[in-house]
Amino acid sequence: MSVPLSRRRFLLQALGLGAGWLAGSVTLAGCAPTRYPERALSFLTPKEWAALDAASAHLIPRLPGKLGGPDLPVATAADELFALANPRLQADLKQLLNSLEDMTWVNLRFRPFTQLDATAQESYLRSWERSALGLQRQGFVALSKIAAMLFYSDPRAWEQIGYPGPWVGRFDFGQGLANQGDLAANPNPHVFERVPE
Amino acid sequence: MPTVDTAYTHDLDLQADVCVIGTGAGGAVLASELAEAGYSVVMLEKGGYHTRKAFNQQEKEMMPLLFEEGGARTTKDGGISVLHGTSVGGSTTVNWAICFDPPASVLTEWAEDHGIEGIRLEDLAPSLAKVRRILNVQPIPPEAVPENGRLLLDGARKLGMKGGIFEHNRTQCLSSGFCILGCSYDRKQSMLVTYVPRALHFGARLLPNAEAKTFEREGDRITAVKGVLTNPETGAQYQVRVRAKVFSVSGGAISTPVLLMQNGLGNAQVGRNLTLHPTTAAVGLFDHQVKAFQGIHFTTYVSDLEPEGILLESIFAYPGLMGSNLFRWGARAAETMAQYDRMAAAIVLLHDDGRGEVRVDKWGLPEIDYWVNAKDQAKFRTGLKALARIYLAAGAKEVLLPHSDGLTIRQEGDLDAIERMPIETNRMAVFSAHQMGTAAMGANPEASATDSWGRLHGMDNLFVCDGSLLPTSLGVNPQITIAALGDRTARHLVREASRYF
Repeated sequence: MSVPLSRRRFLLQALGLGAGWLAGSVTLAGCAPTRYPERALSFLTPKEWAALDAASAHLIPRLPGKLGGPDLPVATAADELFALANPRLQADLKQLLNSLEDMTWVNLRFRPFTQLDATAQESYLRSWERSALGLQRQGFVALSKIAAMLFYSDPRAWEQIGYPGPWVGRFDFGQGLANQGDLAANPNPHVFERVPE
Repeated sequence: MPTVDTAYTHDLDLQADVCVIGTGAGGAVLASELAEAGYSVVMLEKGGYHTRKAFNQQEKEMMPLLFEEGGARTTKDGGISVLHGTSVGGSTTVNWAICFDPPASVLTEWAEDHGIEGIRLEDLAPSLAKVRRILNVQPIPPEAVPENGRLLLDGARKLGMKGGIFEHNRTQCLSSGFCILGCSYDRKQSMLVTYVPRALHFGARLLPNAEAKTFEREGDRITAVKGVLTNPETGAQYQVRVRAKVFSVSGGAISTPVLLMQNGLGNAQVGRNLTLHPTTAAVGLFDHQVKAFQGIHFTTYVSDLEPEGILLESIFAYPGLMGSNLFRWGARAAETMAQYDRMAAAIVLLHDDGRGEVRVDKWGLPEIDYWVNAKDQAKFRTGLKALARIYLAAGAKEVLLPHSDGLTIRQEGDLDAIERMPIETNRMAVFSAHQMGTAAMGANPEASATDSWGRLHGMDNLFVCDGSLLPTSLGVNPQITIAALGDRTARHLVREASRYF
């Protein structure tokens, strides 16, 4: 979930030094299908949502019989989470997603990430992951962490990894506990005693 | 019966002997000890007052509630995840409850190299004894060590390495394994259920959702702190002002220097000297189900490399944290996570040689500048090789290193890859759960931020009492040391009462 980027430097370096990452390595034939948010967004723009949604399909792909990033979907969860984040995190995420969408340099021109075919999208993400530029790696790691954190912390993903989930709701250990959130009661009897030196 | 009222409806103007800003391991102990000694104490806590009733063991909800920036805080280049708590109890509410006394050799270094008075182990012993009693520090029972912990020790013993079982501060632990999302059963003896209620019991007042902003001063004396109260139910905000004779900033080694710097308080050393105990991890994949998510996550350690500044500790992570720190993506990551119940995991924790800095950015938020230096990178390689050997000896079919090169160790011959792997920002998982040193104690005002007792150089009545005080990295989990420093600061204030009150 880490997304702090130096906005101006990211833009300049992505533009100036990133040129030619993918030249000749990808095609634009057959764009990945565009998806739309299933409900009104709180924080992300539809364009930002679409960029994250498209990236999540590669970061958490749908394996046979399993859920993938777009199934939950990760981008909508990010919209909810970052709506409550501090202004720095919000600005950094928007910067990251807009950079991804607007500045994908393919075949000597910028193309929207969401309009590349799946192979090109994956190659583009891989170029960020393996970049010699720390800021591009930072952008990739931020995307990757957001997708993985939001996907795997969703109960719908747990069955496929064999995780049974929290005890709360499955086991009731509330009975007989002294402290129901009341600071005056505590199972440790030493808490309120004066301690002899 | 003590109560905590957060239903703020108006501005507050309070007066007390002492105002403590922050309720983590340092601040809560300081507040409690001074309240017990008969002083009136007000505790201001930026975070909310959340109890076990709110702790639902769901990462997606608890991380934003209990961690700074929802657990997303990092160093400025994103290279290190910096985890620390933000609620009543501070990081003790979300830690793994591991207890180490401070190493005597480190305390001796602080005394001899930094000129700190009253800091040797024998000096700190009364404070350590009291803190250990209140926090109910005791060995983790061997029967409570889950397979994840046993695998680390089993592998180490097969290699002739030494290890042990941690001490912890839990009472009648149920072994649910959800410690870092807030203990839902109040068994972890965090500040939330020990020193904070103890402080209230002795008459202190707690104001959660109260963020200190500015100080009023007359010359070298602070006369009041002003801040913002937020009613968590309505969102309405009010002003709070606390006049006091003594103030302590106890927000932790990231927040404390920010508050001081925003107010132009302290010398040039404030914010510098940051140490993080940089940590990375390895995952052992076994043929059988380890189910490491069950039981206490942190139970065992390997100490052979401790003289080199390296601790190996068993650990585990909930699915979101695990998935986001594997440094794998795509089908490979999904296939790896499909084996989540066959994973064991442990960390390599460094007694760091490197130093960083905390500054204030344009948002008024901490900008953390730190990356692992060459000496510490060598420790990472040493620690990861040892950990890989241990898991292979324990029977792992492979050991995964959280690196973007996708390093997988299947046999001894694969270990050379660890020597070659680039240790650069955003190529491997590095995190910090222990932040220290940004308002360090010391005799020399040119090289430290506070005096031997945590009083800010140049100020009469403004103290720091949290992990910021540690002049060097500690090398072990620091909550007991920080709590003991809180007790020690209180003893100093009581001893020197005629000067301060």
